[in-house]
Amino acid sequence: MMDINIHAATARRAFLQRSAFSIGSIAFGQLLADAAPPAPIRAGMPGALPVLHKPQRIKRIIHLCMAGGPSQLETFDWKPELKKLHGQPFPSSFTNGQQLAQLQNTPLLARGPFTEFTRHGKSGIEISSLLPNIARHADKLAVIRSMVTEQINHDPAHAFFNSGSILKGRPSMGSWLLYGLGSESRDLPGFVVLASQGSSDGVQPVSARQWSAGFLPTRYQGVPFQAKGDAVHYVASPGGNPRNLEEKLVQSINAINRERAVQTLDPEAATRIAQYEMAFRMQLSVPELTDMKDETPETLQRYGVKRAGDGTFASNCLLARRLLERGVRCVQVYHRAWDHHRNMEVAMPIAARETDAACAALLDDLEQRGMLDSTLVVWGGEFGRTPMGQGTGRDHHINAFSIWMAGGGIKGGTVYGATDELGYRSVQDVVTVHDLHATVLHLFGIDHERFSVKFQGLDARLTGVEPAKVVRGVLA
Amino acid sequence: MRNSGLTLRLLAGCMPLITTIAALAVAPPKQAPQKPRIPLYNRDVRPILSDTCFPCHGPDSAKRKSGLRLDIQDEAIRQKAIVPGTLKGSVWNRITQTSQDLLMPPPGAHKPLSKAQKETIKAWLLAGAKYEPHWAYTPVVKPAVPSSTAGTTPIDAFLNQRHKQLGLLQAPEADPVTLIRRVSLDLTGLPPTTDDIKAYAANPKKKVYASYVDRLLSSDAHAERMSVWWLDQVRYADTVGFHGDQNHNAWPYRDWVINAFKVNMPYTTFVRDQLAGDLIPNASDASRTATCFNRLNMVTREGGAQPGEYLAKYAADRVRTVGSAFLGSTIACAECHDHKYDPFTAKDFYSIAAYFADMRQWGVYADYSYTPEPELRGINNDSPFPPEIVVSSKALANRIEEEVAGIKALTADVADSDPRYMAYLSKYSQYRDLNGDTAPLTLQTPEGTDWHTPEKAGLVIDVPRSAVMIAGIEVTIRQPQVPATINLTLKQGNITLPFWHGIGEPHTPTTQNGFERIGIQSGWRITSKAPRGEAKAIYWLPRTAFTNAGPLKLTLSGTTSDVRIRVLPVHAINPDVLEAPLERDPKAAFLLSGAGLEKVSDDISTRQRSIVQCRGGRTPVMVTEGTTKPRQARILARGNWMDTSGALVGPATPAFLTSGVSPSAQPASRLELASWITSRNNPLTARVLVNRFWRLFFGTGISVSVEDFGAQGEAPTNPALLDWLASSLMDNGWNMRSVMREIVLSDAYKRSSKPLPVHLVKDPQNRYFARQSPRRLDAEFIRDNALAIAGILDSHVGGPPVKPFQPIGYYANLQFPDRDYTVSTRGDQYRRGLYTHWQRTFLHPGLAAFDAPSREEACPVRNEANTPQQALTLLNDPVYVEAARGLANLMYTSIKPGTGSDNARLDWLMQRVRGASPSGTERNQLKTILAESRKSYTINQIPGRDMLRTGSLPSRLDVDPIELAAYTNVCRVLLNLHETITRY
Repeated sequence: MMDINIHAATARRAFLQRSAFSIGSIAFGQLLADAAPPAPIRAGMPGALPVLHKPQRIKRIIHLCMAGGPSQLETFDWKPELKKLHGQPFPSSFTNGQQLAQLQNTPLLARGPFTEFTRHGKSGIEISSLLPNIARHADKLAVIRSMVTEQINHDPAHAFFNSGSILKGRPSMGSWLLYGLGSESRDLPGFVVLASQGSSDGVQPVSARQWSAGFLPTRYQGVPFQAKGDAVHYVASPGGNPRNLEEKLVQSINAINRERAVQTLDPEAATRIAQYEMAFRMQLSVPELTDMKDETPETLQRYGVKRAGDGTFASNCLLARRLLERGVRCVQVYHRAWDHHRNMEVAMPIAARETDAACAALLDDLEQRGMLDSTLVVWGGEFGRTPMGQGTGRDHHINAFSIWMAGGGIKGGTVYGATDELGYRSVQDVVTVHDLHATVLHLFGIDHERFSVKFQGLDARLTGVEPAKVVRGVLA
Repeated sequence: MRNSGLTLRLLAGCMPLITTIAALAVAPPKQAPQKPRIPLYNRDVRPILSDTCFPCHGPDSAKRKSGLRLDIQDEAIRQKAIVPGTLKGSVWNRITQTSQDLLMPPPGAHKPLSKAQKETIKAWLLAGAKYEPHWAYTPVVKPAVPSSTAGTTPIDAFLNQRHKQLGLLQAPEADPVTLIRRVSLDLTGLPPTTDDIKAYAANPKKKVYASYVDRLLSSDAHAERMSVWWLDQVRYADTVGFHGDQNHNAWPYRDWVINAFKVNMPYTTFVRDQLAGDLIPNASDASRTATCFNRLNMVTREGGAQPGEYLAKYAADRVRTVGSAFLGSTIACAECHDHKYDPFTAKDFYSIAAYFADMRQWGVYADYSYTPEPELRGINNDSPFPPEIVVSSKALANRIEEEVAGIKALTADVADSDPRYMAYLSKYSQYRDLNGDTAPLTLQTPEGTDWHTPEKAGLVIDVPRSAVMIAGIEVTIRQPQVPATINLTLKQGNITLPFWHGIGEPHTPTTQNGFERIGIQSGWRITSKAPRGEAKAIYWLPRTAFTNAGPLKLTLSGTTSDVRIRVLPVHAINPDVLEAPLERDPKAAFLLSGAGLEKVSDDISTRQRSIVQCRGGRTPVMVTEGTTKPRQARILARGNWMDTSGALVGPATPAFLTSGVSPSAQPASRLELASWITSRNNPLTARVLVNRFWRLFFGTGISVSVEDFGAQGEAPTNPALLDWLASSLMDNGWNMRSVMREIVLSDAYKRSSKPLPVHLVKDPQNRYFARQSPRRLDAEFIRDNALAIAGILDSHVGGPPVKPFQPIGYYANLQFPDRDYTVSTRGDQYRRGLYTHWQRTFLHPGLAAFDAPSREEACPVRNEANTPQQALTLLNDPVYVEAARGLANLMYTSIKPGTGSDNARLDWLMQRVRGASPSGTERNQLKTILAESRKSYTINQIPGRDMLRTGSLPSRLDVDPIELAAYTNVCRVLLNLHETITRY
């Protein structure tokens, strides 16, 4: 059994484990003595997994989150039968006893897709006219048309998609990855979140709990980068104090901490010194990262960036590429305007325009830099939308939605799973959120069943207690 | 498998220092050889069985394999899994199998037993396989205090005995400064004053210490400190948490908690009022406020949310919180199935939920067409979350009093000869000449009556020149024809003079992000809900208008007749009182008119706005209201709210915890749940509470798993001590303060936190308390400590949440409604951290960086992380830059600019920050910062000057800005030190 133990050399973590497994049974002195020959310090923060369970296919992941729940019926799941049924009552044989959101207590009518679908690439994947740029990469994509989730409202659905649980205080996938694998960046957080609102109808809020480390130590949580003010909270020195002066300040803090650490034998004081060093490096690396002057106009144009650093999805995608280039393990890029209950024929094309080119440009850039093989790109929302109309839009839907993946270990040009003829229910090769998580972990070389942390007496896993499976069909 | 390599890597970041510490740690690295001992079930065996066997052979009947149960001795023996005294049972056979098919635990469970674990089981089986009841589920019996020398506290008697058994040397008492700082930070979250440190250091006697402790325990600061702890237990926040994360009115509950600790409310009452304060006969507003506890779960107002689903979420949340906050139990695990390790059944889970089925609540707090809730008609994203009651608030009443006194005090500064005052006086006497001290002037109709009839287009009324001066307009409606609306506009020439505040009774309020919109200046509405009879309002101008400056016209529009208008010549000090004021003090009248100094007028405006914000000292608060028709409660199979096949359940407590106690014949209510929780027979409550107190003062509980007293938790390292404390608590009428007093007066509490070499070998994690442990301060106290050191902490107790500086755009991802963040002004900028607006989805980043929980879920124990974000926060969050400047300012009040040496200043600062002079290293480092800062700011003064402008705290003007900025940098170093944010 491999027990993951994230105790530092202190007993004071809230994250408590039984003594039999914790380092409590190793004498502290022993630890210190063992530590004496200085080990070579690898870049970044080490992970808790001493050995991987299987070969690692990817080193980093970027999740392009179309928050609000994009309609699969207008993007990746072409349903001609539904189009024929447009405006007719939706067969109740599909919907009886099923959960509904805003369509509760209303008559259900079929709504045909308003977009055109064409086949793309050698693989001939059907992709709608809304996403012409992503469609260019059809042969790189593995489209899963049979996703299901358990939560029908945005907030819990995001929580479920990110952490595999609707209980608060559960770590998000990015935190799990960072905890297990560590970070390769010495001077940037290992898990970064970029959120943009989007300008169309259908904006949804998204909570900081979506990138929370939950019961894992805070250092594994996602760090949001802002477009306004400091990119990272409190990264700028007050009043623009000169860097050399701030450096002296940090040196003095550390010198005094060092002396006191020796006097008090307090291991936290030692850790504190390392954290000040990291903080100081971040003060240099974050501005360097977010200053996108060195990006060419051609690049900006490919991403659809009007002004670099303006906090739009396009700009965030470019920033995300820069983060991935610098060894950041996990990046989440949110576009928050996909909740198209109404006015979808206007709003959805806007949301698509704001994201399509940037997603495609990101794939291009990763490929061009030789990074796509070791990066996993995941595109999708927290759920899908009903084949029944809701006035001029569609309601939330959990029985079927589509996502795509591309990059390392992924079999490009694949369509996996299928829904019924009206797109109501995933009927073939159904993929749960836990399956998706298991697959992501698999690509990182982690067996999801063996990747657990004791919390409140239980072995908590990203993939929960029920069996989850790696989706082999999308793997190369 | 332990992995020391992993641990090493965790430490890798601080290798050079570790080497140094290692050199100091003289302890030999080898474990001392131990005598073979007979394993005890609770201590040694149950943890192994629980983790590796009980999931399939334990309490959960649904998941039990082969019908075999190992958690009950008789069952294990009956099924021949265990044959006491031998290795013949199936347990030993199966765990030692070489065949992967037969091996237990099955390899697929990824829970292989280690050799040592097998040895333990073997030794236990051979010794007779004796089971013990789970320590936390057996009744609390007060143990005898071990005999000891005179003067030894009972706590020390228990600990000394254990230390002797273990051969643990005890650390000496901490030095007086460390001790006094420790106890002050532990009990109040604030540092001791320099005087307190000096007094104790000069006379470090037990009696002096004890009286200091008593002073701390009776302080407001102690009540605030304990509240921080309790608010975590009950997931208190100022917003609802789901989706739009709107504001809800919970802060009066927070003030109730503070007051409960301040008056040292017995824990029994404390628990009862929170769970069931509404059910007490003749329930007071206070005890009803306490029931806001039941309303602190996250709720939603999202369109499309399914009410049934969310009601199930709320019910489960309450059960989890009851389990966690009061019982230290993970009952939460029994939502979908019987508990895997503890005897809680799924039925227990839903039976506890049933206690709350009487609450008036909604699954979705809005009335959507697709999920209609007729009772919530008209509610929108700006509405509060019913049911609420309106209660009076001491904090608000105090604030009003203070502001009024503040305004009055300003009159003392008005010189009789001030020309502006003299000019005003001449107007004032004119007015008095005309009207004397009698009623304000009534604006009559052309027909000469008092009662106007407004017109839709607006009735224009000329204000006669004889009115002289106008501070406000009083409007009386004889008998409003509801629904009535009234609007008033005042113009001088072409210029509109806007009213800054209006107050009307009765009026029908509107709301904004959960709060009632203040005042009626933008429109006065009276609907049929309002009481009948005369209605009256006053509209206030920000400054007095004078009729000699131009003709004044009043436009009255509205939908009701018989309206009387009077012009009020003088402003009221308290603009929120619905009485026409006649300010008889001309100096006050002058200041209120705005004709005086701009700065004074601004000050008065600020104070008046603050009075208005206090809403007459009354506030709404969410409460629990029972209904006569409780909702049906049923067992939800696998927690699925759509599955209605489960059995209906009534309120009941988990039977195994208090077996032998006959349930009450009364219908079970929340009141009875409360008395069951705090009954003497409940084995958990008192133990859980004293263990959590212990953790507050030692950093670790006597049982380390303060959040889980179940089978997967860890047994206490000194069970007798835990039970003695629990018994004492109950014997003393559940007196929380006396337990805390007992703990901090013990010798154990006072010991040094520096480990002796023997500790590093025998008790590296300090489970046996032969020394103290250093603890980083909680997020709120890191802030409080810095502000207190800087002398800028605002010590007001209670009141609405405050909003310190926060990075701009931090709420950009919040919608329904869109959120802005208006930074609090004046002292509210420097309040204690616990008063910070607690936005669940986006907690203030300064608090979040130091592990303050979002409080979406009950939080029995906070994480204690050590991150680069913490460093960035202390270096650059404006509040810490301001605190550094405040500290530098303060230093100059003691050592005046131009006097004293750098050495004297550094001494003073170090004394202030930690009560001791700087060491050589520290002095050198700080001097380097001084020198470097001076050098840098001499070349370019701008960064230093800009730094001094961070936040809103003024800089001393009598200090050279370069010097002040240089010393601010020194203070930043001091406030960033690990020692400053740690109590040793």
